[in-house]
Amino acid sequence: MDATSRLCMRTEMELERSCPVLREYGSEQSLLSRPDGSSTFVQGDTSILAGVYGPAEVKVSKEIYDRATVEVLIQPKMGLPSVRERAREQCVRETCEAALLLTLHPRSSLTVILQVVHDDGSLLSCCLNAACMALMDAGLPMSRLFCSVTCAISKEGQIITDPTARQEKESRALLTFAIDSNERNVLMSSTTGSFSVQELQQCIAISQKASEQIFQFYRDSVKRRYSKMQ
Amino acid sequence: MSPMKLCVPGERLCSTEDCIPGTGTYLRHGYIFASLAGYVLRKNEGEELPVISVVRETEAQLLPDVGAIVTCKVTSINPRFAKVHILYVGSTPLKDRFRGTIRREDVRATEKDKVETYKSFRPGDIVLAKVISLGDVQSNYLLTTAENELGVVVAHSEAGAQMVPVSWCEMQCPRTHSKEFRKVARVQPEYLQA
Repeated sequence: MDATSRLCMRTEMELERSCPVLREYGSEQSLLSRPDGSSTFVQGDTSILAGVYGPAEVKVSKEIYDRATVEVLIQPKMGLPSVRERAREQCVRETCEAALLLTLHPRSSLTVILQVVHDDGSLLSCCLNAACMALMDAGLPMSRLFCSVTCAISKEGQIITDPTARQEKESRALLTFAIDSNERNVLMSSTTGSFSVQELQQCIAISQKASEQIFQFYRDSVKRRYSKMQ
Repeated sequence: MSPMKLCVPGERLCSTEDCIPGTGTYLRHGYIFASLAGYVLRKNEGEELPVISVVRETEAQLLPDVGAIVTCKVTSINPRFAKVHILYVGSTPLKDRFRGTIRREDVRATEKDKVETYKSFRPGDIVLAKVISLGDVQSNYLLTTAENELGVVVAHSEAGAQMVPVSWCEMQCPRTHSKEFRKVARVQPEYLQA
């Protein structure tokens, strides 16, 4: 009992000491004229431009009779999309499928296109945040919002939230989580490197704590935008 | 006879002095390692040392054959045929879905020229059908429901409730009591007891 209490207290102190510090982030919506919804999301020097098209007509081979088909394309800054982009596309697509109410648009397709403008670490998190803002701008019905936080574990065991590209390179593990806005559950996790179970739990707790700031930012930006429209 | 032991790739099974490597294994530094995930099989094939191999659960893929009764889900409708996905062959589920076609002429045995496809099936219905042909270059199975025991067995109304068959060509919603046209399969006696 006393040992458990001391362990919880130490964990709380560690959580408070490593209070998640996110880099400066910003977003803008409706900046492109052609897509049904568009947004840009900036985290530090990482920048993503997102466009959402749909609901639109779907190919016969990809048609699902009772719900929409979600397609995600990630365009890198230089060159053609490769295996790394395909893996990230799958993470973004499954997170969007979990958040969107796809049964309202059967036999249609929703396309999310993410253009990498600059990459300075935490690219998958920025992609997910930009996709969420773009889906909101398109007005698609969603059961919940989602945001993403990346944690890096350095060689000394320190947890860094929202790491830069240099911090990512020097770390021994990189964990990315997508958190939903209703119950702060983990919708998606993508990890590389070696870490222990305690470190994973700590990273999830830190990500859930950091997601409060991003959800508050979502709410503030939407509030500001729709109050300006009146 | 020892129980079947599971192994994963990279697991050391035994030494070369005890066994001879078989399929699913490889030899390195005098030891036999597993290269597949599955069950360890040790077999004496007449030699002085037994052969050790790793076998996987190789279930043979079941294919629909001509004359087989299959369970399908309707995916799309047009005035000439209905497109379906075959989910079961008999009572065996399929790993992959096969595509099939129920032509307008194969919906029922009588009054073939008066059949209207949208009064026989709707997308999402579960249909019992019989395979009459393996199909053409698009590899669509040709199916028929021109028997009393074949047709729609599960259908949902616009209100979302599962409908109850009331005749061979009609189903009724238990919630809204509206009737919809379907080519209904005759209810089997073993299901009436439930």
